[in-house]
Amino acid sequence: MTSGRIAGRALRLLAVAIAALVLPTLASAQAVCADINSVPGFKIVLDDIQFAATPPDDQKLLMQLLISHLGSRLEDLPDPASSRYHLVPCPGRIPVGEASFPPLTVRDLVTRDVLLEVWGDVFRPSGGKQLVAINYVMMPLPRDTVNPFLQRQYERKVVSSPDEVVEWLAGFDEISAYATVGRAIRMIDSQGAPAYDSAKADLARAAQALGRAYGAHPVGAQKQLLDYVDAQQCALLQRARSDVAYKGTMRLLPQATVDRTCGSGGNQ
Amino acid sequence: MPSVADRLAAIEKRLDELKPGKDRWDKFEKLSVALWAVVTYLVSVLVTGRIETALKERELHLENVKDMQEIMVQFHSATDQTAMSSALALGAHGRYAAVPLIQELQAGVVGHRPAAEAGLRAAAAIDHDVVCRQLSGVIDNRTRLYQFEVHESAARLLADLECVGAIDGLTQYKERLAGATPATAPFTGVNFMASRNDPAAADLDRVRTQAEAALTALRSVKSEPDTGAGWHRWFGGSP
Repeated sequence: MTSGRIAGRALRLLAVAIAALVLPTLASAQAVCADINSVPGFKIVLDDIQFAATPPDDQKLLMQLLISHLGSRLEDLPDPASSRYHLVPCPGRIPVGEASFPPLTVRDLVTRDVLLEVWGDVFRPSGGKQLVAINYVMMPLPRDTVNPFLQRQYERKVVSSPDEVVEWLAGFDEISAYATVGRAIRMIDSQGAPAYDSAKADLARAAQALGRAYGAHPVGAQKQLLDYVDAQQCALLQRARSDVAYKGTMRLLPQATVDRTCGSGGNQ
Repeated sequence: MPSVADRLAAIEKRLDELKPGKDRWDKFEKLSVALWAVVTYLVSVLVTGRIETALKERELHLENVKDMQEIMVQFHSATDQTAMSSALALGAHGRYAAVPLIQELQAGVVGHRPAAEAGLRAAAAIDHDVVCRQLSGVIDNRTRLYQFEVHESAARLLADLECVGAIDGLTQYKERLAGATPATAPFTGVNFMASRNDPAAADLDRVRTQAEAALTALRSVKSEPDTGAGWHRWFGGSP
């Protein structure tokens, strides 16, 4: 037997042994989100929101309630049918931060029009307050320019029932604001000039919603995201004026208007 | 005058000289019996050996399939984190893992692609040429059997694995892609539910870029002198 064959067999045995040890313990921890391939259009992936000290059955019910509320809310947004958001629940999926999103995976998600992935924790009420931490990943945003990973903490006075927590979560404007930023970037990348007008509207709407959500003093990653959205608005105006493929109204905007938009923080 | 006896002896001697000697044919005739036996023995040994090898190969194949079956199921339903260990366990089966891993790429489960690619690299460490041939088969296909991510991964892996035998195929592939549109591309998009599943223009560009990068890498590998380095040296793959 050649040394190559011996090495091959040894490698095989080692891999099988590792798999036998590792797979049974980990395989049940999370599930594959198959609906990403089957749901058409722009998608928001909702992973598990973990409710502390809640039995598994109740946790499941609360998630179903959240999916229902959030899904209805997204459907009610005044978007044309072709660019509407579809909520894709991924029960059992809990990413472990940035490590769960290698560049190739993110690119594959963007190819499937996934705009946003959301997961988080609802902590046990403490000191009369209810704390919630939600993680967002805006898939189409370029990592080298802006951090697409955001973690936000929300606090409010203790609510009387878990149902109210779910309603509170489903009402977060930020979810649709982040998805709107992602949709604008994705449409510009994939459709080019025909998408400039809707992208401009999306970016303007997202800037307003994020401004409201972050308040007067955005910090760190929030400020970076706001600056990024402004910069994209400015870049879009400039591109629309120079792109011969674009035939819309932005082409006719006077330079002074572009300068004003870019001068107000959009030229970074 | 010689005596009668002498004359008889001389005649007998001449008669003996006139008798034909044993030529090569006679010798061969005598040897042929033994030779036939030897040839028959050698042929039977060769044929039996080949049949045995084929049967053993078949048994090994079935054994590998049985062995891989459970891992394949685990891989397909694995999370991003566990997919890697499943893929490496599959890849350790060498040539037998190539097709299942390519099929996993085709399934398009997000998060499984890095794992499937790693599995194919592991398989190539054992059966380099077979894996290279299977990957070449992906880019040679013109019937839209695969979605564009499989083509992109195949092109990348051909370069990673230094499949220099695929240079001609990749050159033709690159030319084919240069004139392709989403409607005529040799692969589909990932919108599995669409009846007309064309790739997006951006997807086509991605595969073009990857094919070009792979070709450049392989040409540079081929132009370097063969030092016996690489897969064969490190992993002892089939030459």
